[in-house]
Amino acid sequence: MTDAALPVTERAVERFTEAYLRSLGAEIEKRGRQWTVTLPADADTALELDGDVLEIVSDSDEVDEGVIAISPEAPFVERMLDESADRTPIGSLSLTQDQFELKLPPWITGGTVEVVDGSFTPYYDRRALCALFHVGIETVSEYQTEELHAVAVDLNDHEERPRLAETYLDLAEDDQRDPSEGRQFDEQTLGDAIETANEVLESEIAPMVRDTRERATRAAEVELDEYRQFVQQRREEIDEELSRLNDRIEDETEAIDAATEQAERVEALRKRKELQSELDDRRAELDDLTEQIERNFPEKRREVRERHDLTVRMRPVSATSVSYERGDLILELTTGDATVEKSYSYAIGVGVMEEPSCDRCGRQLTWENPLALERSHFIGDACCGD
Amino acid sequence: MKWWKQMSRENLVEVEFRHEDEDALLADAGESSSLVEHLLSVQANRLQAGQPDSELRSLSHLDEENVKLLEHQVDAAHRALFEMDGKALLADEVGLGKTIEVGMILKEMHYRGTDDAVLILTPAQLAQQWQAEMLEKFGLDFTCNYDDDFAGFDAHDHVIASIDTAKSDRHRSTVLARDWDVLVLDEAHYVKNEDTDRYELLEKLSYDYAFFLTATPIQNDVTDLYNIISLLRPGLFGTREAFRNYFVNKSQETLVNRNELQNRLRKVMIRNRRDETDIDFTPRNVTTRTFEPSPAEKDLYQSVTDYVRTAYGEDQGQKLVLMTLQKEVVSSPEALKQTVERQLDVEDGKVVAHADQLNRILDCVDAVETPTKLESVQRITSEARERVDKGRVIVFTQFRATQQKLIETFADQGYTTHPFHGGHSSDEKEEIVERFEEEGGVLVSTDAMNEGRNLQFCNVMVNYDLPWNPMKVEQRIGRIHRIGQEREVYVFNIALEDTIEEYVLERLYHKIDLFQQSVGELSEILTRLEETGGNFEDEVFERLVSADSEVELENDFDAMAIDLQEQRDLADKLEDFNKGVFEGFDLGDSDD
Repeated sequence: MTDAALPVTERAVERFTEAYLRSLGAEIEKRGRQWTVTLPADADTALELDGDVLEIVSDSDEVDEGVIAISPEAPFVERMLDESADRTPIGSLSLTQDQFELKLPPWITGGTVEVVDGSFTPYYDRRALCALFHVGIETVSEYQTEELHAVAVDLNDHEERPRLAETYLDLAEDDQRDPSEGRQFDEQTLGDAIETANEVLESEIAPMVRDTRERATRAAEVELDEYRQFVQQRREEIDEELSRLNDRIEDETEAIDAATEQAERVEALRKRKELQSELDDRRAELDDLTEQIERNFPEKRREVRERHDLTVRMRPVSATSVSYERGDLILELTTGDATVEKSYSYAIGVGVMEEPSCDRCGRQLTWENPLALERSHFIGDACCGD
Repeated sequence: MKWWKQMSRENLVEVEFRHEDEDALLADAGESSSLVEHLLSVQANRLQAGQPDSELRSLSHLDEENVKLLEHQVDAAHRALFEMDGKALLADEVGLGKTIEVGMILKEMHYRGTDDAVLILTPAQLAQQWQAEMLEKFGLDFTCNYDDDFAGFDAHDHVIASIDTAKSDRHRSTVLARDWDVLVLDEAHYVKNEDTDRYELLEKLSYDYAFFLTATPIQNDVTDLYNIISLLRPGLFGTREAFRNYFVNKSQETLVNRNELQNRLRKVMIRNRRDETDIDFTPRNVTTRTFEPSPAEKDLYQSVTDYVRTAYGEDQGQKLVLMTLQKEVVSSPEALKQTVERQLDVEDGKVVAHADQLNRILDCVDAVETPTKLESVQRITSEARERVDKGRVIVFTQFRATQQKLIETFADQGYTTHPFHGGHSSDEKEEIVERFEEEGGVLVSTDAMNEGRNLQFCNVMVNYDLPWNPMKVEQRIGRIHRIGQEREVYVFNIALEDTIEEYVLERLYHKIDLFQQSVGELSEILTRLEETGGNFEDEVFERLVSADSEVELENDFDAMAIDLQEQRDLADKLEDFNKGVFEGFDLGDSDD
C-alpha cells in the first residue's frame, strides 16, 4: 500500500492544467505566465474556453478581472480536477524492458559487490491491478481523516506488489515517458481483482485503524468518565438528602407524639407522609444509580461508545490493468578477485522478486546486510562478512 | 500504567468497514479508453487528495456570489468539526453569523459524505428562513415541516422543523426512532429548562454530531449554561449541585472559578465577540413618506376594511384571504381587484357571502384613477436617476399584480425595468440581476428576492408596500445592506395615512426602531414574542379587525409596541448580561 496523494504545488497544478487542456485538444498560446486558451467547439468538456486568458499564480486572488487563475485550490482548477478525475477511471498499460532500465535492489548495490553485467530475459507477461482507493475513517472525536492509497495486486497469484504500485505512480507523474496500452479489464476480472485489493487494503490500513480506534475509545472513555463522576457526585448528594430527610421525618414523628391537638397531629402526619414519599423517591433514585454503578453503566456505555464507533469507507476511484514482463535477471558479479554469475527471478516495474538470504547463516539480505562474496558463496556482509 | 494502556481488544469501540461505489467503477470495465486520459484521471485523483486533511475542503466549492465568509466563521466551523468531538455550542454574539457557521459545517459534512440524516430544529418563525439560507447560500436542500410535500420525519433525510412540531405527539415517536447523523438546534436557550418537553426530546434524541446555537446561553441564571452544556456533554460539569457549588457565588449569583469553567467550556463552546471581528456596516437611512390618500382611495380602504371585519366576524376560517385583502388594499387597486374577482367567481348556483360588499369594492377600485403611491414612487426613482449610479433602485412589493402595474408605469416613463419574481428559474433570476447591474434602472421585485441574492451594487430601495412581519422587511433591506456594501444605504417606505400600513410603520416599526435592528436581533425579538404565544402577522390582523374605534386601534397598536419593546429590552439585557459573564473569556485554543 502506498500513499498516493500528491502535494498540490503551483508547478503540479500548472503541469496538470496544460496536460489536461491539451488532452481536450486545446490550443494554448503562452506568454510567460499567461496562457491564451481556446478549446475546440466539440471538445468533450463542461469547461468553456474561447480565447480566455489563464494565469499561473500562487494565489487565485492575484489575477486581474476576467483572467482565470491557475493556482492550488483555484475554482477553475478544482473544476478541472473534478472533471478529469471522473472522466476515465479505468485504463490499461504495459511495462516492457525497453522502457525501463534494470533496477537493482539495495542489498546488491549497497555492498562491496560490483555488477559487471546484467541482462533480463522475459519469459512471459503477467498482469496486475493497480488501483487508487479513497480511504475515509470517520469517528466523532476526530471527525474524519481521508487518504488516497495505491494498491497493486497480481491477477495470477493474488499477491500484493508494493513496488509495482510505486512504479505505476511514478509513471503517471512522468510526462516524459510514453507507456503503451495494455489489455483492458473485463468486468469479472476487475471485480475479482478489486475484491483481492480490498483485502490487501484492509490489512494494510489495520495499524492506522487500530490507532484511531484506540484514540476513539479513549475519547469515549473520557466522556464516560465524566458521566461516572457525575453519577458518583449525584449519589453522594442523594446520601446527604436521605440523611436530611430521615432527620426531618424523625422530627415530624416527635411532633406527632408530642401533639396535643388533633389538627396539629394531622398536619404533622401529612408532612411526614410527604417526606416519606420524597424519601422513597430519593431511595429509588439511589438504587437506580447504585445499580448503574455496579453494572458499570451498560446503557450509557453503549450509547457513548456507539457514537464513537469508527466507520472505515473504502472507495476505488481508478483501476489500471498493468501488464508487466517477468523472467530472469542474470547478473555477473565481482569483488575483484572472484567473478560469479547469478540468476534472479525479476519483473519489469517490480525488480528482483526474491528475498535471498546469507548462504552461511540464513539471515536475509537487506540494505543493512548487503550481499558479499566469499569465493562462490553469497553471504551477508554484516552477518558473516569479514 | 495509564488505564487506557490496559484496553483489551474487546473494550475497543466498534469498527465498520464499508466498501463503496465499486459498482460504478465496474460499470466502466471493458470500455475502450485512452491511456493519456486515464493517467490524467489518476493524477487528478492524486491532486484532489493532496490537501491537508483537516481543512474545510468544501470552501472552494462555495459560490462567493452567494455567501461571503468571514474569518471568524471559518475558524468556528473548523474548530467545531475537528476539535470538539462532534458536539459544539456556537455562542457568538448576536449578528456574527452563527447560521453561516452551521451552513459551512453542514456543507463540509455533505462534501465528505457524513450527512446521511440531518435534523435542524428551530423556533417556528425561523424554520423557513433557515431552509432558504441553506439552499441559497450553501446549495443544501432541506425539507421543512411547513412544505406541502413534508411527509414526516422518517420520510426525508434532511429536515428543518420547528422544535414544537418535532416534540408534538404526532411526530415525536418518528423523530426519536431515527439515528440522526447531525442535529442542529437553533436558539438553544429556549431548551434550557430541564423540566420541559423540549428538553426531554433533546435528551432522548439519538445523534452523532450536534451543533447548538445561541447568543445568550445564560437566560435567567448561570444554571442555564449547565443545562444546555449537559445536553451536549452530560457530566462535563458534574451534577447541577456540584456546578453551583463550584462555579456560582450563591450570595451574589455570580460566576467564580472562571479559569476552570473556561477550561471546561473550551471543550465544547465557541464564542466570537463583535469587537474582535471585522464586521462593518455602512450607515442605513430609513425615510418613511406618508401621503394622504385621495377620496376614492379612502373609500376603497374603508369598504375593504368593513368587509374584512364583517366577514372575519362570521367566518374565521377565511383569515388568510381576508388578511391578503387587507394587505392588497394598501398595495394597489390591481392586486385587490384580482382577489376580489376570484372571491366572486364561484361555481354557478353557489351563493357568495357578502357579494354586495365585494361588488362595492370593485366599484371603488374602478373609481381610483391614479394611485397616490404610484405618483410618489416616481418622485423617488426620478431623483435616483439623477443622483445615483445608473439610477439603480429596487422597488419591493408583495404582489405580482402591483409589480406588473409598477413595471408598466416605469416603462412608460422611459425607465429600464427589470421584473423579478418567484416564477423565474434560478438561471433567469441570475440573468435579471446581472442585467440590472449592467444596465441600471428600476428592478421591481416581489419577496421572492430573498437571502443569498447579492445586490450590494445598488444602495437605494423602496418598500412600495410593507410586509407586517418585520423579519421580512429586514430581509428585503438585507439584500442591499450587507457586508460588502460600501455606500450609505437609503430605504424609503411609502404609506398612506390612516391605513394599516401607517399603524404598522408608525406605531410598531419606528417606535421601537426596528429598521435599525440586525436580522440576528430581530430573530431574537420575534422568537421571544413567539415564546409568549404570539405570531406577529396574526397579532396585527387581530388588532385591526377587533378594534371598535380608531382610538381603540391606536391603543392596541401602542400596546403591541410596548410588548415588542419589552421583548427587545429583555433581549438587549440578556445580551449585555451574557457579554458581562463571558467578558475576558478566551474560548479559543489553549496556549498549553
